[in-house]
Amino acid sequence: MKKQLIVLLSLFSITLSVSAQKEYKLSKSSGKLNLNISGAVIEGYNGNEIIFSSPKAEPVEVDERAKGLRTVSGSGFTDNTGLGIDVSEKGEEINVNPVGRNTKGILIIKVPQNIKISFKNTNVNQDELILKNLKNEIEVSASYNKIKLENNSGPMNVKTLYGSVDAIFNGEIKGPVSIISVYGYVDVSMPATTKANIELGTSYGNLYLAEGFKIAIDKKPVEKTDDAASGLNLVSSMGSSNFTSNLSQINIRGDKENLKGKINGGGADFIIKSNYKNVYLRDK
Amino acid sequence: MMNDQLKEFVEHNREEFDQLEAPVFNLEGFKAKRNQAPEKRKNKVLFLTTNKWLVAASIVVVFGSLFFFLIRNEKPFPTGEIVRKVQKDLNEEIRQEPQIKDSEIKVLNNGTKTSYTSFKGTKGSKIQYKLDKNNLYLNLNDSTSSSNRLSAILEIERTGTMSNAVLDKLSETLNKDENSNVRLAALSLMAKYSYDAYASGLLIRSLNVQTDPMVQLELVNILGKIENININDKLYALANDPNTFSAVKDEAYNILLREDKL
Repeated sequence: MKKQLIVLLSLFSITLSVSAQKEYKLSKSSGKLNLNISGAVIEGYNGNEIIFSSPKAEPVEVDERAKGLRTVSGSGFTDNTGLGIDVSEKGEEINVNPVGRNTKGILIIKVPQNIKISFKNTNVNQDELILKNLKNEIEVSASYNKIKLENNSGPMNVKTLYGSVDAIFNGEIKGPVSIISVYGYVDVSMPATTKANIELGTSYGNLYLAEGFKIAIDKKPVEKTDDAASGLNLVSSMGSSNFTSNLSQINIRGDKENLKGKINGGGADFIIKSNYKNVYLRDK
Repeated sequence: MMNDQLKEFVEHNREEFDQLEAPVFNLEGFKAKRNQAPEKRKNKVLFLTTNKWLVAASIVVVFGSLFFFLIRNEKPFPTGEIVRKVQKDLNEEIRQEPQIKDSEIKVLNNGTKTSYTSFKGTKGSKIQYKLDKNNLYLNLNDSTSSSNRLSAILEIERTGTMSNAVLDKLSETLNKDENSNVRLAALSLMAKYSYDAYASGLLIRSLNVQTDPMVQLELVNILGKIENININDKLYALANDPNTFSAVKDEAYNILLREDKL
């Protein structure tokens, strides 16, 4: 009897959680998904539908006066999904815009792996942005979002003004990969066997590099800049490759650090920069 | 005249005509002659058989020659269209070359100066080089993919050559591209040639029109390191503009402080 009761309660709780998660599906296996929202978890999968869902389907407060009415944004977008977003198709592009101010938890979007993703958020309203298992082009332009990239093949252009970026690459990588932050750190992990043309840069932070990477430094062009000579020092210090720990600090200077070279003979182009914080390159 | 001769001959030999008898018909000899005839035919057949072989051999030789000719020349008979196309490509090549030569800066990656015309190769490879360059410029304007535009800039950097025309295209990207990463890549490449007056002029002009705070920050940083240019007024303007990104203001103040202008 007790067992039956436990099973019944489990089934009830599962049903409850599933019903709480509202979904909106769109049949599309290619094209570009333009997201103008505050944040999302975007995950690639083998399928033919874009599935939008939110763990909390109900708004925080229910306005009795609004019953029978639809939420409309200042830009004219209407909530046609029940998730507080407007989803509209225009040719090969799918545009997603926020509607209303009621946040309903972070939006989860499952997309066919070959769909291109473009995320733009210049508002102060921000959630975390996580992109994983995507096999086509990624474009992110954010102001405050913290960005996490996991197991994406690229190519990608990612920038954030105040947020940080964590990127983990596995397997084959298609360049170019450009990840830039002004006030946040940029932390990139990739297999030590990755063939890449790499450029690491920071103005006021440090560059950290895992011992597993041996970078063949490109010869710097003769420039009429103050730090031309110190750039050469950087090359010689890298050439020695005397690392004592897993992550070794490259010499600190008040001026800009810029390291450019090839890993494993060169391959995909990587540009990884942060103006005010550190840049990390780890082997995986 | 002929008849007269015959008549004369008959009259002259009349006696012999009258006296001599017709020779006896030699049947054996006739048979022997008849038997010899097939032998002659046999020889003729042999001759004809030999001729057939000769004809066959001739055909083989002709086709063999034709085959070798075709093998040696994949396009044995270039059509007028192909000839015209090649001619057109060469004409375009000749027309385009001076435009680039007039305004080139000629800089290699290692900083040593070189000439555009130092490119070695056949005319065919030169045309291919031009086509590749044209593709690069097309990709630079590919509005559908920021990654393609970034790739184009990185490829231009790898060519190791630069001209005012290319700098103009990079400047357009720097000021108008929708993507900050692409703008920054264009700026990074232009900064390598910032010692050139034309390149530094484009960078200074960009400071007036640049709207991307990330690019403004990098631009101020680069211009602050170029000698013999005066951008203090522009730096003051940026620093006093309430809409300027805070990091750009800091960088502008930093440069003005270094120049002892505050």
